[in-house]
Amino acid sequence: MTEVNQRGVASVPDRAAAHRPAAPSGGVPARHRAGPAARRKRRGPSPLTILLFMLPGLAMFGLLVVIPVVSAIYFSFFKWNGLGGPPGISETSEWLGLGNFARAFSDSVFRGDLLRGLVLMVLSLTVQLPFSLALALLLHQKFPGRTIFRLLFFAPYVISEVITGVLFGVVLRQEGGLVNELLRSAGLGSLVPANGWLGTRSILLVVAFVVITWKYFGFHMIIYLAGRQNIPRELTEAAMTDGATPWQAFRHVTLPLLGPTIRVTIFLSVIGVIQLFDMIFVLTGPNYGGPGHAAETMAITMYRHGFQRFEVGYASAISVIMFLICLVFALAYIRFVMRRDIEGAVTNVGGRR
Amino acid sequence: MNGTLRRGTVALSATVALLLASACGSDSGGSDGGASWWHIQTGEQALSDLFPQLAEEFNEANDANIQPEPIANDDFKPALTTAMQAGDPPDIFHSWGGGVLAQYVRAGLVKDITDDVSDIVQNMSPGALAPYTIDGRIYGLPFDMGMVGMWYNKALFEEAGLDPDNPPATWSELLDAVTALKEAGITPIAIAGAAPWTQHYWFSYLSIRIMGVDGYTAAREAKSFDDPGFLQAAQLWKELVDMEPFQDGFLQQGYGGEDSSPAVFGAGGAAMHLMGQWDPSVQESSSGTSLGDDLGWFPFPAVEGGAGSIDEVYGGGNGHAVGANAPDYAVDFLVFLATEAYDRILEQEPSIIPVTLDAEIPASEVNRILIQESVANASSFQLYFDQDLPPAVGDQVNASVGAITDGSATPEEAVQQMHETFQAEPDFQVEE
Repeated sequence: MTEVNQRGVASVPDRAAAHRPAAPSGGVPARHRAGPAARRKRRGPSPLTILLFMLPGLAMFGLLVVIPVVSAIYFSFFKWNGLGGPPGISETSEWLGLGNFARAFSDSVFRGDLLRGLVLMVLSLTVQLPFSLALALLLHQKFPGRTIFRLLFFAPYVISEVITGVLFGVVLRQEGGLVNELLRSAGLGSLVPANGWLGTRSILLVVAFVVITWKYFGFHMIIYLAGRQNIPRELTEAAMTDGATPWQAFRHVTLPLLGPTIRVTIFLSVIGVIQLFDMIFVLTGPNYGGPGHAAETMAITMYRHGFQRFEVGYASAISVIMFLICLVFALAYIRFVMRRDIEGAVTNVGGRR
Repeated sequence: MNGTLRRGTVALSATVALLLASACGSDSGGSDGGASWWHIQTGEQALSDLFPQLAEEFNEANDANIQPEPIANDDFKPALTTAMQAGDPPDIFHSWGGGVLAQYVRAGLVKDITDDVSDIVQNMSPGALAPYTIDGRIYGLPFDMGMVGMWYNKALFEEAGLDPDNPPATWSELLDAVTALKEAGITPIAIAGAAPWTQHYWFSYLSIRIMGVDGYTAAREAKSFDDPGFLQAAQLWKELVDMEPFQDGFLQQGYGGEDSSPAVFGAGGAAMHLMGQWDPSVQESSSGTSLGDDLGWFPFPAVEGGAGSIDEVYGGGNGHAVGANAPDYAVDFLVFLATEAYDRILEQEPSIIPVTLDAEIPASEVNRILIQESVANASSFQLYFDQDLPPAVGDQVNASVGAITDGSATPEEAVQQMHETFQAEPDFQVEE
């Protein structure tokens, strides 16, 4: 009997909701029947519920992001070999204040890392991205076998950085390497550097850049291709009808509409350069960035000091500097360059519209 | 865009998480899951088969639980670093002794086994034991003892008109040999340009030939590289580099593998290779061939006017140390390895040089006998600089010597870098 009663009672608000859609209602069927207006007016979950659902995410974020970052910052103030418990407690640690940071900026290797990073960034933005864009526009045209080319060009991105490093180590071998053998059989043996592609200080950074480009141009190409496909054909056709040359159509219609896509790839490219590690580490083997630090990056310097030299404090300082560079760049870039692209997607600072 | 921003943070925090893990690591030394035994004999088939057998026999006889964990050499170093920084050393682990082991000892991570092994060390070569003796106490037992020396190709020497039975004994004779080989169109020296630790052998040998082991020891005590002997050694090395005696493309070749200096030397592509006692096995595995009877060995030549002599030996061995929290039977196992089991290790005829005074090498192994005699008759013994010095200084020595080789630093700059790194090395005193 009670069941019947309960069902009967429960059905009352259901029916009421059906008749008065605007009324707040908690029943499940009501929510389905109610319009958007009802949903907006419905009382939201309590702050406690929100907190409860966010807790797992917050815990993970705190555990995996906040605590490590904070401890790295803490470590970076010490001279510490990583042994005997955390610095401050460990007997093999010594408070340095900002000493590790001063050391980094007076160290010619680390300053070189910054310079090399800048060179790679400039090369990426002026060579790699335009190259990928050109390819994307080419592959946007209709021609037989287009899908196969798209697939082939994207393939290197799927291979891991370590495998890419090993692969090019073999391809660039002095004797029996693919590149040198091709050059020699084409009668261009004089182009082979005497110390090898990976052993010549003056060209190593460029060689590394070529390998990076080989790996990532397909990725940028696919992004551009997706961006290009989102541009309605009518716009270009209208421009052409109005007498625009193909170059003008590209310059004044396609390029501006690709703007958001290009800005994203620039962002990814720069962040990627700042964190570059695996490929160079594998390419240059036990020499940490090649002869004369020719292709050493910040991350490699950090690894060398942390794991090879037991200078965990100094390595932490380098990691903190890397973090700050990433953070400042990312915030500034998003705030000033990508502002229009992400309007509404990200919370506006200070509720500005 | 949050996603991409997070990429940056995640990559960084992955690094830092390692450090965090080290700070939070707990001591869990073998009380429940047995005693882990980290060894690096993965290349030598005979030993990688024998080691687990020995552990099993020992476990059955002593109701122990030793668990061998073979780790490849290059993976072993960072793995051990991480375990040590977590304050959780393996119960038994491979060690070359020296400054790296000393660093762990001073952090209280290694067991003092002096009293347990006082009997058996009587039958051991003092030179082999020295790297494991820190502040007068013993922290490990060696099972292999060797030295760095010059491997050379007798056939190529003959081809260049040099007497293969009378290899260079002085530095100037060596330079003459290099010239003669070059004139005969033979690459005089194979070297791993991309692995600076192989080049630091040249620099260290030149240093101890010029200053003597005593001179080097005094400099190490003073935490200094400003002795003119180091600069002279760097300059002599630079002089040799300038003669361009190395194989084509050496700067991108490492040590071991198809495209490497032992592969070049093993295939007869160069006349000399300065390397440790283990090199013949790497030559064979890297080149796929064997030089056979053409392979010869001679000690590093003396430097004219130097304080050191040709019978001072530079090198090191392989051994094991015991983690601070290891069960007692771990020490017993080390003793077992050095006594009852040691003969069976030697029976496998691995390319190791015995550390016990009464061990014998088969007469056919001419080069191994030469090395064993050189070690046994050494007037003094010097451990590899990059193991003997604190890790940061050892790594700087390698890097600086590499910089001379690739031309990115002058000898003066290179020695100055080493000196500055050594001076900056902290002198932590840890109370026991």
